[in-house]
Amino acid sequence: MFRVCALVVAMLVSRPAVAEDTDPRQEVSTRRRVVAVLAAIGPGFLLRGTGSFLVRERRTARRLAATAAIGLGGMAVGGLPVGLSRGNPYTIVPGVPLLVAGAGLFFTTWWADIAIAAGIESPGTARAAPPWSLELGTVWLHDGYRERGLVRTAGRLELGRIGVGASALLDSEGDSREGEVELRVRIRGAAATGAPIRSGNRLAARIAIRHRRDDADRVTVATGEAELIGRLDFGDIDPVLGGTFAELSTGLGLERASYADDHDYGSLLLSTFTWGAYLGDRGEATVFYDNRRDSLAGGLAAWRAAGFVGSFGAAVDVLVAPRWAVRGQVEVGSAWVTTAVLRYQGGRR
Amino acid sequence: MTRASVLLLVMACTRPSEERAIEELGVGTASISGASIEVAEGLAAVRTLADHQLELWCGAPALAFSLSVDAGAAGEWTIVARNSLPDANLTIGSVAYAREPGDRSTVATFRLSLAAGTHSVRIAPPDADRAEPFRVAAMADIQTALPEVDDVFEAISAVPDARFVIAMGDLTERGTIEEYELFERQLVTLEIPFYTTLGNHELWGPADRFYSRFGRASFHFTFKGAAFTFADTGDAGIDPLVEQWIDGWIAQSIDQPHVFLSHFPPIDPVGARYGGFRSSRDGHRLLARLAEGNVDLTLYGHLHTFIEFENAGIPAFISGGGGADPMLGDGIDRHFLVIDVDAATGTPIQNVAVQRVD
Repeated sequence: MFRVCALVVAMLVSRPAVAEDTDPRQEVSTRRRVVAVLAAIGPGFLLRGTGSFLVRERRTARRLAATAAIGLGGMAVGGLPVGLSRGNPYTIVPGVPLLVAGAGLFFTTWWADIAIAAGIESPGTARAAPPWSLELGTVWLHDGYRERGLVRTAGRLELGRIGVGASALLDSEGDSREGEVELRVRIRGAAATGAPIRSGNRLAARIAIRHRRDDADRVTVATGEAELIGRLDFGDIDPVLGGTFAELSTGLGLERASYADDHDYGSLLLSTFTWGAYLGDRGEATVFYDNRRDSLAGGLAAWRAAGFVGSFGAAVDVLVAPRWAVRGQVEVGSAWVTTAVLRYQGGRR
Repeated sequence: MTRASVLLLVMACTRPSEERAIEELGVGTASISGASIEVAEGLAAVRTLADHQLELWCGAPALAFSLSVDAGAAGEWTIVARNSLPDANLTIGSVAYAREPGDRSTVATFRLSLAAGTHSVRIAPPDADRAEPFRVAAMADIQTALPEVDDVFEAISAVPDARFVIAMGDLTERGTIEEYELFERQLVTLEIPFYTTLGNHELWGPADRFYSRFGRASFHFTFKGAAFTFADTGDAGIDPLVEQWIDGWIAQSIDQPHVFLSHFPPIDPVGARYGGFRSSRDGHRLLARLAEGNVDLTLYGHLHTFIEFENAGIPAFISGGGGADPMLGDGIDRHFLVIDVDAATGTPIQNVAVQRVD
């Protein structure tokens, strides 16, 4: 599925081979690279591919530009009905998921262009999920109201195409506790062997239930959610982008919030986009956007767009020993959430 | 570049409205050589304190303030209370001062002689403390419709027995001085006072433009036995300081009918739209407090439509019908709410009716 999508994108954006595409790479001076990075960050936000173009990766520049244009198209198709109708509920789905998916392509190609301009090449390859894993971590929450230290524990087990996972997050002072149980079905992608794989492309469906009790806030929230999560190796769009990837997810949830004497039902829209680079075959580094507002991070106080924006974050997940991995993550929304996790990965390689 | 850095810092800040909350604490106080004023609970903006002259913009139907004058400032004073109830009068102790004739209904001018010393002054209608039925109007989200909002004000003025308007913010589109001036000119068509919090659109300009004209954005008052709490949610959240004030106001009014107003709903009833607080955990926490505080009615704006629902068991209305670009396909454009309150009965919120303007 993803290979087909990647091929379609590649066909859309490629031109017949010309000399510039087949020239061996030329050395790029440091000065040119600095200019390229600045151009990629600035005008490159709108003129996608500027950074790649300036470091003479013209084919990559074109393909990034075309992919970003597809993203912009998705943003327009999804966002315009929502904006023009002033948020009529009938436009929210599929409008907002399309908007976020489009934004995902738009932003991840921006970050990819900056990386190409900076000369960041990832010779890395993906690694399949481990057959099973157990993790223990700590989460530090800083928001306007309080500081909280939480303990996180989680486990996963992959059984063929089915993966089950459970996690718990406990406040060290006992003020809050939350748990999640999820089930994933691998639709496309490599089996969970824990071994390095040639392609990280994958598609999975996920359903989960969550339960959270906050004694300090005097609220209990239960959530049921379903989403699709897909990853596309950017190397399938252009070889220069090899070792990097984008991940998009979207779904819906139902929420029940219980108060002292009453409860409310509500809905959730789940949408994320991630850009990442494989770190050799030992893990990956990512930057991501999460549109949900019920997480610890909530949404950014995005000045004039306050309320419309979710959270941004960055994470590194890497094997530090054959069976041991660590994950560090910082997420910024209405709160800062810092996570550090140690994970044991079991099963065959 | 500097602007971008500041923007990034603001975005990453976990208390974007902290400075505003602190700034609100200064509302209602002023001093000049020989005279000073302190309005209780900051319920009025002091627009002018000059030689024997005081001009206030009232943020509540009944307000109290202490006015201190020394020997040099003693004598004849003119006190102008803008945005006051048409039947409000001024009392100092047991002495009542009638308003000067000929003013607009919401502009009360009093002339009185003040001796040196501190005077406890109250401006309120005679029935302010009597628990009896009364009626108010509620609205939000005027924004680009400022030039024609006088239609809405005329319709509200025609509502029989409405005492004042309570509003949920977004008076302006960009928070410019010109918009605030136009809003005040449009208020000429409204024959009753207009008490409001601010919305996210007021924050396109400096918030002190709002405070200096209309007073606090987070405030609380009681009228005829019913409590009204307004909260600044302009950043799609509530500052912890404001949350503390709300806790106090809830505790103070636990046995009274209580109406809570904010621009953003804590939780958008169409949750997937995310038109509420930027953190739904913060929204849930606020709702839990309102429910435990026996709040009787919650009113919100921000969404340019009309929605009736319940949050945490409290009746809730989103009424963003002040004229800002309306939601399409929802079957309603400009409108306001008419709310009947009676603190003397077991059902204090007697009725909430929608009145269409278009």
